[in-house]
Amino acid sequence: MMGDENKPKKSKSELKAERRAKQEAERAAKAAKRVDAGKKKSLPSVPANIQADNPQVVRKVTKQLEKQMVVRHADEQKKVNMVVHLHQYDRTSSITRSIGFGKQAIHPAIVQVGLKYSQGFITGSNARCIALVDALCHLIKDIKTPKDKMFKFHLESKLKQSINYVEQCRPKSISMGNAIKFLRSKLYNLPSDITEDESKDVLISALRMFVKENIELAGIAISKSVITKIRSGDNILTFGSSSVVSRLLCDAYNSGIDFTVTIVDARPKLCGVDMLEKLVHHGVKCTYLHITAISHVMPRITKVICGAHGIFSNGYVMGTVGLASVCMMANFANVPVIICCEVYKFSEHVQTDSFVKNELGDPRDVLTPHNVQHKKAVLPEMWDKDCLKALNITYDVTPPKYISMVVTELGQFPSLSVPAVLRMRSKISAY
Amino acid sequence: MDDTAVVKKFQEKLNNSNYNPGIAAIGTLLDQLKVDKAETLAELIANLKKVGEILLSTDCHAATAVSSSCDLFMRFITLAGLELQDFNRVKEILVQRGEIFLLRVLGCRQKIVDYSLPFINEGLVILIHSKSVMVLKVLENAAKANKKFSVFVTQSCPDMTGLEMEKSLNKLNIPVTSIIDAAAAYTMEKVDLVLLGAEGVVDNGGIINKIGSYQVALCAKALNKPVYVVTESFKFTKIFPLNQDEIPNRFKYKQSIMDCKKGDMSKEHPVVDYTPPHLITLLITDLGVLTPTAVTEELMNSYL
Repeated sequence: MMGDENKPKKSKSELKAERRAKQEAERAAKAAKRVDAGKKKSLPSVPANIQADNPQVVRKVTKQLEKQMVVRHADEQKKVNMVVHLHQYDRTSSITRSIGFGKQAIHPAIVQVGLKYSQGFITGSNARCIALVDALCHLIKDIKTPKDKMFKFHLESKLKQSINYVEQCRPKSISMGNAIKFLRSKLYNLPSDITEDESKDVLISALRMFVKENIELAGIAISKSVITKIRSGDNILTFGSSSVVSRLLCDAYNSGIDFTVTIVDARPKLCGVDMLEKLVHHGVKCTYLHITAISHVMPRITKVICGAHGIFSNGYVMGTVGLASVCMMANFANVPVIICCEVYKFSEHVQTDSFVKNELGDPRDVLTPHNVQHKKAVLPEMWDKDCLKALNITYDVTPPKYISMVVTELGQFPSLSVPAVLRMRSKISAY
Repeated sequence: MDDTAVVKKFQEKLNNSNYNPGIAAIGTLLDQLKVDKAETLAELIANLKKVGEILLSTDCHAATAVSSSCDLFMRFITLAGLELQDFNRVKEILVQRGEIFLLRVLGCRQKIVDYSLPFINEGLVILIHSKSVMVLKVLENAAKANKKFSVFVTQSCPDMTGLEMEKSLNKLNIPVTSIIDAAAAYTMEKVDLVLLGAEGVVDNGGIINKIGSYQVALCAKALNKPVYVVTESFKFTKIFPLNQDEIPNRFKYKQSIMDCKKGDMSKEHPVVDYTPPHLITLLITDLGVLTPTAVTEELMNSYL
């Protein structure tokens, strides 16, 4: 009897132990699976816009765009080897031929602004951002949410479609990207208890305020800050065209400081001519030359003041192609370099060279000679030959050691302090 | 407010505080704050600023340090919430904050000396420039810790203060040799590291120090020797010079000489020069051991 009672007890505990062991084994197996899956997901994903040489990725992107009724801009096929991974849009291929009408179509203001970007009618970081914000305000005003959808989600999908279209016209600038991020965060934080019209008002006034604070007022603040650095007798060098720099040079002239400006320009865009026009019209003493001659003038220059397209978190400055050469030459001649850049153009990304991510312009622009009257344009006619390739890169990246100071509306900083400035700005404002 | 009384108080404090002009300036401002008869906050701040100006107009040897410490003191005491109705209560708060600031600043030197000990190892040959109380304290502490090292000190024209430094180091039984300023490059190959003080630390992490520091730092960079700067945090100033020309004149020349020459300083020798941040390896301060880039962030924290 005693033996009988003992036996079931033992086998019960044995069974329990067996069951526990099984459970533990299953749990361990599950955890291992999860860890494996986690490890696989932690590989960094390369963005699609720098994988133009991967046909799988291109096909995937085309399909995604088709769903949103956006046509992918065809790539010009003759790309130089080192930039094969970047898109090089063919200017002769039309992006608006199959643009539809109806509920799913892209808003005409967006179509207009995209075309202006792709044909080069609107250039310059600030100008592009302002034009985009304008078009987005039109879009928000005209949008009509269908009865079965929420305003937030409908606008978000329309926004996605519009931004994809604009990206296919011309890749986004850092300023445009930050403006879109701002709009998205405002949209996300919209209170859900207000009407659609009120939401639209909130978004439109937020966008207008964004432009006013971050572009117009920031430009005035930067101008006031840099004027304290300009002294009588200065010979200032500037590269290309920048709205911030032309404003501050005109303001410095108005405040009576006696200085001269040397404008350095580069092909194929020749933006410096616009800058020259503005300054000469205002009365500033200017000299104009091409980038090929800067080694001759640099010993007589006292400061270099330029604008930037954007600044990365590691202090590297992205500007029009040629800016890096100007900064290097200035560093060699011991001339301080001042970069004027609004804080909204600071990017959280990191880039150390000009190849990983850049914009390729139409290569045939580079082949057209500068002086068409004297030299016949032979090379564009030879474009079909296999042995001829051209590279028209739009931006380049300058390392922080060549830059003495970055001036923003929040103050003057060395180039490596960008993350600190971003932290400071998030403490100050309600971003 | 009596100008001469203020200057006398400053001189007294200078002698008491072991020759630290920044601390002396802060002490003078605090005393002035206690006896000030202003009725409004704006008037009080204006009076204190006037005292700062008076101190700068004396021929004090460290205009940069005095200027930066006055700025930081004013900044610190007014950072509190001062919306109370009773002005006496406001003044009490200001005085309290002033005392806290002075206490914090008095403890600076010991912290710096502790942080710098690991950098001075056995058998090192150190090059120092001119006379700096902070550098002297650092070397004194290392000698007390029984570390054996030797020092080269530049004589530092025109006031030859390097020779005074040599005397002080001899008293501490540290093997020291004084060299003429022109021999800095010649001696650099024998040296393991360069130790500099600073009269002021500018926005981008560069320093303003006795004339000749830039030269020494350039030679060190050319021969790949590290340059360490030991300095208190109240010397951080908000100016951002791009080159030697942009250092404000009131830091470069003595006030008496500026009054005498009435603005034409082209024939005068400056007393300080600016060393850019790319020549400096590390700054050892009471806030910790910082790279020149971190100085900008610290300045942002104090001024915002």
